[in-house]
Amino acid sequence: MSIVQAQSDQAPVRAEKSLPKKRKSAARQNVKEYLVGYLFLLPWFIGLFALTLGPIVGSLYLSFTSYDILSAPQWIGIRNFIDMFFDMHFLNAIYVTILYVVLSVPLKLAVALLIAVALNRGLRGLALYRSIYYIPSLVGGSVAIAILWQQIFGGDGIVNQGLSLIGIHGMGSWIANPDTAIYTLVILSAWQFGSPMLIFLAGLRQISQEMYEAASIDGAGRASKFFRITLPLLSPVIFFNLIMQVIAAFQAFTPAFIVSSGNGGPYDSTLFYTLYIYQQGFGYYHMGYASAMAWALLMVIALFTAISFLSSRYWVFYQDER
Amino acid sequence: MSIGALNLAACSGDTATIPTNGTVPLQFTYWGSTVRAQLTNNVVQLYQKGRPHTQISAQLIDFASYWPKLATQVSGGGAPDLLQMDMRYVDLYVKKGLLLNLSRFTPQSIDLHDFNPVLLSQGKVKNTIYGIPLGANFSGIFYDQTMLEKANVPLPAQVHDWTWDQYVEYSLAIARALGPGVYGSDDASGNILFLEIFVRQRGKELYTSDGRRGFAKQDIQDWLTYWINMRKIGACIPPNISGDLNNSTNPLIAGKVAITFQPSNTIKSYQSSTPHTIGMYIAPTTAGLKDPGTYLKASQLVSASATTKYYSEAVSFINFLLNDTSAIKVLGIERGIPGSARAQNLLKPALSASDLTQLNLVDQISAMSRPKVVLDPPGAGEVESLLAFVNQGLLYGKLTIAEAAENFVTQTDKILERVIA
Repeated sequence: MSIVQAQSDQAPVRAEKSLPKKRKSAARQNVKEYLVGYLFLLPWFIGLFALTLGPIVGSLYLSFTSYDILSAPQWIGIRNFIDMFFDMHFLNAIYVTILYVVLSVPLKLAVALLIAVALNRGLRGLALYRSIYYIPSLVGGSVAIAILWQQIFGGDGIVNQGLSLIGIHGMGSWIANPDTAIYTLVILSAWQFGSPMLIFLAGLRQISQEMYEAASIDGAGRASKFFRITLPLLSPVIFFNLIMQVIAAFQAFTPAFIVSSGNGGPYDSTLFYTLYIYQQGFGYYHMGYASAMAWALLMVIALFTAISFLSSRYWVFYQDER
Repeated sequence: MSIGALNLAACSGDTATIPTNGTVPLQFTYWGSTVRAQLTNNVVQLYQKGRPHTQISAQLIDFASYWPKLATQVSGGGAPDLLQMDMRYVDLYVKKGLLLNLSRFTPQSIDLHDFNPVLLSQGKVKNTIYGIPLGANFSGIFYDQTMLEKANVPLPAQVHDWTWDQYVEYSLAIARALGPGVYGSDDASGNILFLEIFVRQRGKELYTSDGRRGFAKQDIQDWLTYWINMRKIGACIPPNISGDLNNSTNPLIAGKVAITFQPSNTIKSYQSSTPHTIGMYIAPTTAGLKDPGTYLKASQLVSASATTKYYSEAVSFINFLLNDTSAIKVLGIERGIPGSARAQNLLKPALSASDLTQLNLVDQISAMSRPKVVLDPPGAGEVESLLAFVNQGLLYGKLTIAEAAENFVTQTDKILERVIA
């Protein structure tokens, strides 16, 4: 839904740019529109200033201190940021998190796109299917899922029972094994494809049927239509989903917290970055160090987002640009 | 405002002063099971019945969120008036000046004349009382009587015949008798409570009184090697099975092992989760040593916040918990065996056979064990996680035994040094 708005927002702005002469009344009209816009954003701004901005600034200060929550913070300069590089759990957490982002985001987007394309063929009862496919995204963070995942990937779980039917025995538990635990979380993430799927569906609706008809007349096959029409025209939506999912994957916390009982085990194999921040800050009362790690994460996310934006000019295709 | 003024008057030690207008609100936070919540609420109601001016709101928080939440409350200036304390955190909270000096109120307001001195010493820092144990427990084993009978392997009659070496044979005998998929022993290698017992049997402590490492690399290496052997010969549960269960079910409850390692006061909740009969015993000892390593431990303590405005009421409630006949009977031994001799005698007639066993074992251990006088330093929680981490590396072949021991010792030093600094 939001992408539809974003696209329709973009259209008038771009149209104005192409008009060389601006009329005064239009400018005044613009100011008025901005004001209305900000008015609608006001509740969010109140939340930002009253609840979010203070803690953000506070955590920036705390990241330069040694702070155990129970007594006043003490300024220690950049020592927290140096300590990180000598902290093996921190390095493990970086590795686990980047592995998770690199594996889970493409997989989740692929599944979401596949389901969206399948649902976009004028099915009857679409709303029902949409809701059904969205359900995993709603329940994914619950304790029930932790138990479900143990049933699926445990030693006697469905996966191993299935494998034994085709002659593969003795795989052991996938969750209790540090070499495989992270993959169960990647699959859990891919299973929660609901929100990118909805955005893809909305994006697919925007692609004009005439293009497909014209391509059909020219003799294009299904695959050709998908790769030459659907994918290029959907690329702004894919880009949007990519950014959002990368940010969300870096910040993933709940799946690891519930599947590993909050300890990131076995052997740090599910120690997501945010989980380690939580352990340090609230488990061991090292709130200064935890704040420093949170700021380091912000920088890493900013870096990845910047890379995505820089790369986008080579693969994202805006219809109204050409 | 007037409440505050009245309380100043009440501070002179006369707890009978009752504010005439308004009530005194007391916050009491604790962790535990729903069983504990029920008993605690009953005791609060009992207390308020005779003192309508005191309004106690008792809040149950699960153990994992208890410490983050408490720290946040303290930092926000809203520390609860009364709080349940854990041995692990006493030292830290006292160092930060957050707990009320309770020695000031004994013996006038808090009666401790028949309280077990060994137990009481655990709530003391520099000979001043900051927390009073609500019960005593010890770290021991729970055995599944039904399984042991089926395997026809009885427990040794003498505590001193129960050594780690014999425990290997013993667990193996159970595993052999009960067939594939069932093991004699749970895996305690990553559990710091039992590493502590092992270290204490060698006459040491995990930590020194100045908050440094008290054990040698050889100690941790011997401990981990012992369990590697237990797994190799099939006497104890393998990691791929225990790892599956750890998050949700104890292997004993799941019927995979006959013996598990636990703090004694949790036996009630274990017994209620299985139709089998569960018994308890002390952890294995080291051959040739008189010291069983196990010690009498405060399962949790009650403390008051240093900043409470209503300390006479808070102190009066603490005394009620410890000494009021009906309160003692309501609480029973759910928080552990009470420290007061009178409370023990009050409870004895009504105790079930298994509860009585627990009480007798606690008394026996109290008599023969070496008291633990060193409080855990603030980094102890991190060291506990470290042991679990290093042990997982060992379980899944990521570390050799030498690497695991070296890693544990170096990282422990690093954690403790950071806290001291």
